[in-house]
Parts: sequence; C-alpha cells; structure tokens
Amino acid sequence: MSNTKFTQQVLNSSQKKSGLSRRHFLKNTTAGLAGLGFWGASSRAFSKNAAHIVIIGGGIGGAAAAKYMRLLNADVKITVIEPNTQYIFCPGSNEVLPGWETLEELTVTYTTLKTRYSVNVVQDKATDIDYTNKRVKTAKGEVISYDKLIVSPGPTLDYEAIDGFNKSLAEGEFPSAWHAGAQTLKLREQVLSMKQGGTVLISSPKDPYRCPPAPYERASFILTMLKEHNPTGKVVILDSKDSFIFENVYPYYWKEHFGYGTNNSMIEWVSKSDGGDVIKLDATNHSVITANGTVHKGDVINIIPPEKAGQFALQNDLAEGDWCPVNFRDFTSTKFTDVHVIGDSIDGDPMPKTGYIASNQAKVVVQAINDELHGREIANPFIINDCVAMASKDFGMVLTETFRFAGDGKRLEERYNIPGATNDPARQVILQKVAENWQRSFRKDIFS
Amino acid sequence: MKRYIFPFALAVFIISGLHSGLTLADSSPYASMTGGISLDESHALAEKYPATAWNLANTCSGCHGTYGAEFNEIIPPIAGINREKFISIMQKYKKEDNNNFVVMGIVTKPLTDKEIELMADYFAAQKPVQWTKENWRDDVVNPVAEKGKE
Repeated sequence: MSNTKFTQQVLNSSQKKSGLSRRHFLKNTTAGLAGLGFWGASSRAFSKNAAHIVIIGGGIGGAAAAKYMRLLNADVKITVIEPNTQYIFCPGSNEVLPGWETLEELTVTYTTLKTRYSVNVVQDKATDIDYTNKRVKTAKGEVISYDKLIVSPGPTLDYEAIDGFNKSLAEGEFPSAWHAGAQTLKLREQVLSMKQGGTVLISSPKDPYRCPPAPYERASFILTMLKEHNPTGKVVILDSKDSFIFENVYPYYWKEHFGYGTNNSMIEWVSKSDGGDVIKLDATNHSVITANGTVHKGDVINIIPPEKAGQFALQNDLAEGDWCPVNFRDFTSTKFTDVHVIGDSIDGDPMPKTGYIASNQAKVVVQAINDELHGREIANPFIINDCVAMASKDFGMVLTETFRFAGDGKRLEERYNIPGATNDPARQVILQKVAENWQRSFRKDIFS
Repeated sequence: MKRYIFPFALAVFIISGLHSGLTLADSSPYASMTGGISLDESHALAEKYPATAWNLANTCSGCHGTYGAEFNEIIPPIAGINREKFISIMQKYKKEDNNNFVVMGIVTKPLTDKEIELMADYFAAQKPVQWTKENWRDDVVNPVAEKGKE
C-alpha cells in the first residue's frame, strides 16, 4: 500500500507541474533543448546509483512498462528507445475502414511519458544488445547501459512467407493494414471504389498472430460498407485455420444481416481444411492460390501475413525458431540474464497476442524488477485478457481469459470464457459500447 | 489460446421463437465456450501461488483506468469504492449466470474470495472518483428499444 500512496503522490505532483512545464517548454524550446543533457526530458534528477531500466519499443508493451515502472518506483531511471515520435494505436483501427474512427484520433505521442512519468524517450532505433557489458547500441551510434532490459519490439509481419508477396506490394496495391496507418486508408479506399459486384478477399493467417478476432471484425465492417455502397459485392475469408475466435458470435451476425450460409450470402468463410490456406499471391492476375491449388480472384486482396518475433529480437538471438522463449514468472529471457521479453514477440502460448496481454505482461515484469531492486522474492504473476470486438456500430462481443502461474519452468494455465452471440438488441449494443469505451480507456491507461 | 473443442456446424437454427432478452439456447452453435483449466483448478492455483494486490488490481486498469480512476463513460471508475460495496458487487457477478451481465460475470468467476478482498482493499485506498455516467443505459439502450418499436 505504501508504494501506491507514494506513487500516487508522485503522480499528483507531476500532474500539477505538467501545465506549467508545457508553457515553459513552448516558450523556451530552443534554449531549453540546448541546456538539456541525456536526462533533459525528465523533470526529475536521479541519483547516480539509481538502477537504469531500458525499454526497447514504444508500443503498448513498452509504454505500459515505462509508465507502470514509474508508478511502482519513483527512483529508477527509465529509458524508452523508439524510432518513431508518434504511435498509432492498433485497437480501434479496423473502425477506420468504414470511417467510424480516424487515424488522427488513434495517434498518441510520448509527451506524457516524458513529462508526467519522467521517462527518457530516445527517438532512435535500437540495433544491438551487448549482453556481456549490458549495453544497447542504436542506429545513430548511441550506447546506452542498462541494469534491466525490457524488449517489446512487436511482431515481424512475414510478408515473404506468402509466395509472390512482399512489403512493397503491401505498401502498394495489396495493403495488409496490419499495423494501423497508410495501408489502412488505402484498404478503405479500395473497398469504397471496388467495382459493383466485386469480391474482397481476406487471408487470415495461421496462429499465433496479433489480435485474433481482428480479421473477422474487419470482414464484418467491410460487409457493412458493401451493403451501403456495393450491395452485390462479396467478402471471402480464406483462413489458414480451421477455427477462429468468436466463431460462436460472428457467424450469427453474418447470418442475421448478410445471408451467411445461404446461396446469396455476401460472406463466405473457407477453413484451412476446405482449402482456405493462402500460400501464394499472383499480383499480375490479381488472385491468390491456396494450398490445395485453388485460384481465387479478388478485386481487393487483403493478405494478413503470418508473424514471427520482432526483427530486433531475432537479430539479437532472443528467439528460438520464430518466437522468444521466456520464464513465465517474470518474462525473463531463458537465454540471457537481466533481459525481459514481452508482447507479440514471445512464445507465450496459451496467451494470445493482444495489446491487453502485452500491457499486463509489462506490469508483471516491472513488479518483478521492483521486487528484485528491493531484495524481495519475486511475486507470482497473474494476467488477464479482456478481449473486446465488434461486428458493427450496434453489435459487440467480449471474452475473458485468466492466466495463472503454475510453477517455475511451466507455462501459465489458462481459463477462458467466450459468451456466445446474443439475440437481444440491447445487449448487442451494450457490448459494442463496452468495446468502444475500452479502446479509449485502454489508450488512456497506456499513454496518459 | 488453445483450440476449442467446439463443432463449427451451422445447424438449422431458428431464433424467431426466442424472446428478446433471452440468450440463445445452449445447444446452438452460439453457445458460450469455456475451457482451459476448470474454475476449481484456477482457484487452487490462486491459493498455491497467490498474486499481489497490486498485480490483481492493475489487471482492471485497461477498462477502468489507471488506479481505476482515469475513465468515466459506461465503464465506471472504481477508485475509492467502498470496500464492502466492491466485494458485494463482485460476489454478485461471480455467482450470476454468465450472461446476466455483459462483462463482469465472466471476469469474476476465476477469482477467489480472497483475491476479491485484496482488490477491494486496493481500490478502497485510492482517491475516489465520482461516476457521472450512471444513467448510461438511457443513452445506449433506449434508442435501440425505440428503434425496435418502429
């Protein structure tokens, strides 16, 4: 409790200061910057012997680790290394497709981390870890020493795993739109300008991948767009799996509104067993080829590529195969000491790859680091995933998973509960509101 | 998440006979899916490897805000909530049928009574935040009900 009270005080006092310092900053930007040292972005002076927690990546996992580390401990130095000055929040980005949300609204900066939580944000790309000397090198040639390192680089989208597909095609004619951004807008434009009666192909990847319900949410949103602009248009989901999350919800919605399961259905779902596994893109003929040799022509082709651990983690030998193995008590790498890996890059099964999970892994890690700094035994981890999704503006869904520690050397144990579709319009819209509210509350929890 | 033991058969399914307000019959392909370890096993692991109040309570922040205090829409703030009130609400959700409440019914079930008490202590110790959207149902549900009457 005393920790909480103390950090609450830190929070309150930095809150009071933030308005002042912002004005001060605007007024004195040039002079101020010149006078700032390495810790210049922070309003606090740290002890020379203060432990230095370095975080690679300013996504949800990295930002949550920085903020919650500060909430637990006012004395440590915290550095986040992140090349981008802005981050586009992924939760909610499917809603950019039908125009219910904007990228601007989803875009956050690191200002609050710097000013309110005294986090040093280095706008640079981390390249190498020197495990022996506990240092991180950056692209601009900076060398940053750490006492504890938290690696949260997000996933690598493995475009090349699909024959004939690559990153530049995704940035051009065949947007994956799996990181919110320009590709999301491109996909929106393609759907809106598709010829009447055309087909949108969505390739849903094999497990594990970021945000399991998102391909099905995306398909549902595109259906709503087509119903308005292109009622003879169609969506085909080609799946590299035989089952999917919320398969006890989405098909109900599709059936109710888009004739799913009938000859006139606007949507078709092709399982892996039925030949849905996309292995090749034929860009010239605007088609994809599945494992059983079937050619599917699409007017809009949205391939969500399979994933593996982030490039930084792969290059620094943190992975075994595609993912990084960790100890589940504190998410330390099983390969190197004083290094924690969180988020989409880890081999975290049965935990899915969601922002909510990444943020809760971050909390477990900073608690463990804080315990160690105080010479305490490292606490047992507990992780929840409350996953929300929508089918439309008036139909939402939610599931809960809890992950229990089951002993050192073991994976976490999962309990899940996924309520099925409801035919109660009031409940449908309440769940949609919960999903919508969660996106905002979660963004605020991590970035403000 | 582990693979579900769940047939994806879209059997003939008639919903017209169901009254609004009921959830779909459990035999439907839209039944709730539960799995992984049992609730008893989850509770047993909680006893064997107890988590801290800080860890337990901060799993709530994604929805209810940091310290349960930074959000105020249809998801209520829980910072500063009276300890006994928190426990009574959580226990009510925990005992209810899954579908009687939209989220908390499924969130509470794997938690032990002891864990709920630890969370209650944590949130009771936070600076209280007034919930100003207590009438959210009027805004969210009434338009749907009106639409239904048309």
